[in-house]
Amino acid sequence: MRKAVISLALFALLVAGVFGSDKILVYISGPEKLVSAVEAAFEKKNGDVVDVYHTGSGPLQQKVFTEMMAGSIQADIIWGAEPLMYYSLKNAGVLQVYYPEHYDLLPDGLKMGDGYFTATGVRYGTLIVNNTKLSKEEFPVSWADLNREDFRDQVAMADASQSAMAFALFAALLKVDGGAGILQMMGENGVFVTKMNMDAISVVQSGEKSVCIAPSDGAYRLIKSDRSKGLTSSLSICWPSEGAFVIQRPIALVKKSRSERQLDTAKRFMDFALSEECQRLSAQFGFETVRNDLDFVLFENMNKLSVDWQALWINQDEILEEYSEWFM
Amino acid sequence: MKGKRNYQKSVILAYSNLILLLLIVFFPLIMLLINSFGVNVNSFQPTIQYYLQAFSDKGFFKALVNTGYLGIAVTLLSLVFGALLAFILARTDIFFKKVIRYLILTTFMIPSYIMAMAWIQLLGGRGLLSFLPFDIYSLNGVIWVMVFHLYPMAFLAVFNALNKIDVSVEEAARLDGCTHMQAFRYMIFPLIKPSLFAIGIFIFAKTIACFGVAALLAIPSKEYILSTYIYKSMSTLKIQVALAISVIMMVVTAVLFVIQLKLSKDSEKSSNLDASSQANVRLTKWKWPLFIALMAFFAITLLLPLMTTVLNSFTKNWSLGWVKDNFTLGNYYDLFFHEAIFYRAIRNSIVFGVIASTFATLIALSSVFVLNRTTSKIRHFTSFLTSIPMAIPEIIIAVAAIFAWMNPPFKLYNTPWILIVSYMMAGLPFAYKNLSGLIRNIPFVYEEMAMMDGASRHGAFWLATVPQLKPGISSGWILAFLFIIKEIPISSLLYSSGNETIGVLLFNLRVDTGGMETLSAIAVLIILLTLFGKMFTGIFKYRRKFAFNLMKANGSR
Repeated sequence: MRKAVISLALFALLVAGVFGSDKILVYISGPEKLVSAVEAAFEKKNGDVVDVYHTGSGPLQQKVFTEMMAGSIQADIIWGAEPLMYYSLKNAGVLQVYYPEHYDLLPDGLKMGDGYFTATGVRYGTLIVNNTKLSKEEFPVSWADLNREDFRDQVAMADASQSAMAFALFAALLKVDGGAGILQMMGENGVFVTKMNMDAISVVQSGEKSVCIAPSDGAYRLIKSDRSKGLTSSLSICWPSEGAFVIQRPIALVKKSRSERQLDTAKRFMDFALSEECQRLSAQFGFETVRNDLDFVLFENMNKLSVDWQALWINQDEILEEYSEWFM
Repeated sequence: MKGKRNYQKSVILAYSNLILLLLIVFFPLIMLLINSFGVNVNSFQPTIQYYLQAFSDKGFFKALVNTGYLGIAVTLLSLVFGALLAFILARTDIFFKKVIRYLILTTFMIPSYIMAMAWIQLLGGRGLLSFLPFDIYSLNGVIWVMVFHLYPMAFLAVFNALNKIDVSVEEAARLDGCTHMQAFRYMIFPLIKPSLFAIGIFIFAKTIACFGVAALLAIPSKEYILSTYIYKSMSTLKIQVALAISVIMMVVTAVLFVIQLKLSKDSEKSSNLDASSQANVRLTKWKWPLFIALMAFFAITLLLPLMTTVLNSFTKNWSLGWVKDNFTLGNYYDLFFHEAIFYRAIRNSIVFGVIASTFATLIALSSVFVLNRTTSKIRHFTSFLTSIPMAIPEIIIAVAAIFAWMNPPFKLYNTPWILIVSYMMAGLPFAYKNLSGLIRNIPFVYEEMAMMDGASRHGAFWLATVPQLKPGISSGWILAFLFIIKEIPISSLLYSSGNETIGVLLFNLRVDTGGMETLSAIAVLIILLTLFGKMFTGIFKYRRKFAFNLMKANGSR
């Protein structure tokens, strides 16, 4: 009997601890060390006011949308993944308008979401190659190079029907001059499809494939990690002449009932995401700053191509059909 | 009067157990079912459009065919390997039987996705064995990994079944002039057939629900099976289509379950409870060749992937190969001293695992009592609820948990309890499988004797049968616990801040690096933890070794 009472009391304490809290809940994707550093930096100034749920982009989307179906999104802030998800959330009416401090310092090209969500960092959809398999002269210089004879069976990419990032890259490449032909040929040449973007980079890193289409930040972190261990990385990032695709990393405030204090914390957290300190932290993990007043540029001498996320979001099913036809 | 009281107590136990199962298993599944028909907090209009959407997609049928192929191939091959090894160990005078049993069990304890990654490194484009004409990135690659992960289940079941058959049955056949083969064909095979079918169904269900291995190996060859198709639907936010497909998988499992029930009944009829089993096949000159062949088998199926994993755990960058300058202890150092959530993940996994596997084992124990020792009308339904989670992909168990436990009256979301309850649901079949096999080896006569001595109905079960079920209880508990600490999809979708588990750590590391260095280090630690667990269990077992208990407990159904 005594044990039962103690168990019940512990259970009650546990439940009370979770539901009686004034903390805010942030759902976030991205490298774990970046997430920990951001949380620590924010809490250093604001106290222990944030609970973080950290995962990959895919599970983040699945969690958010399952929660939406089950009643309501539990998070106060969603941060990470790709802009596509945020268009769906905005359309579902579950986001709250908030323009973080320093929003005005974003260049026009990166202002998106009408306050429902804001870009906090940028990475690039580009070509990653294995530099032990290819000499510098053999590095691809254009998206069209993916159809080179020596790249037959040597190109990898994440599955666009499993990864929103891969979907965005496929759709964006479709819009490049001759993009449809490039993609169709890639399918015919036996593109190697992986579950995750990091898997695509991984098969290039191991030398199993020569080149992959993937986000720059993952390769940037692996190259940096190799250097820190005194190794020469087998990976190199190439920038196609037509341009690399700009992939924003948004943040959004969820519309929900919360205390004034929680709302205040949530807004301060959103502001922090655009602060110089957070931008500098993000840059260490491969995310280019979105602020035009900060000068820590990660990649130079490259062309950039913007992605029409709204159009992608509207035409998602048709694009996936084309993808299945050519790649599957 | 006493009989009536006993009957009432049995009814109370049966219904209490049912209530728990309704809460832990049925409630999440029913939430999943109604959501698959489009009924949720936003809409009360039932529709079959999500089922139609699934059926109208060509990809779905291809995934269905692939799933059937994979399930049947893995099941048949696992049964062949498992039964052959069981026969060799149960009926021949081969050397080092205990060592062989340990090797088989160790195969089962390595997480299947770690095995898959090791095989990619061995057989992939730049692997040591890449010269072999075998494409690891294919459905056959999935079969290769899954067979060598699951055949120990078949081995355990057949080994136990063979041990239940008295060698005098074969000897009688031999006296009548039968050869060993004929004695096996006409006397032994009919007796172990129900066990083979029953464990085959379990392996089939586990195979069609597998996700990690199929995602790693089949997607690159553009082949989907139902579980990866479900994940694809989830990723493209067609969550209700994913739920509809899961319901279809559950229906298939329910049909298999009915077949299994029928086979268990046949199995009961054929059991020989007083069997005395001993090695009756002398290998003579074949002893050494067979032993060498077995060692070669384990070298390929166990040692190669295990060594790959261990070596990777000591590399700075696994893709640079096993060269002198690439070795380091840094991955272990980073885990122990730099990985912020490492200790928390270990602690949480152990605490949640212990709680969930203990409750799962207790519920499973009640279920086997209700099924085997009562005539309650709900006994088959109870058994069904205890078994059904085996065929549900873990990602769907996680989604069902969100529907069930996010809103009042059972608001467990963002607490450790949602993990524990979901682990309990997923771990139930492991605990149940062990106990249900073993209880059929224990004659009811012991309980009758206890009751004649004045024990109540439940007292007799507790005093006479539970002590004999101890091997099943401990091995079922350990299998459930091992499953829980390695589990990824449920953990990564349902954990909350402070409640990270080893599965969360594994997933996040994989997303972060895509590499195998730290991941392999964690896998090595899991294996060591497992071996430590086995040793720990061994200390408390004074009659039999753990491995033997596990085998005996894992009786065929």
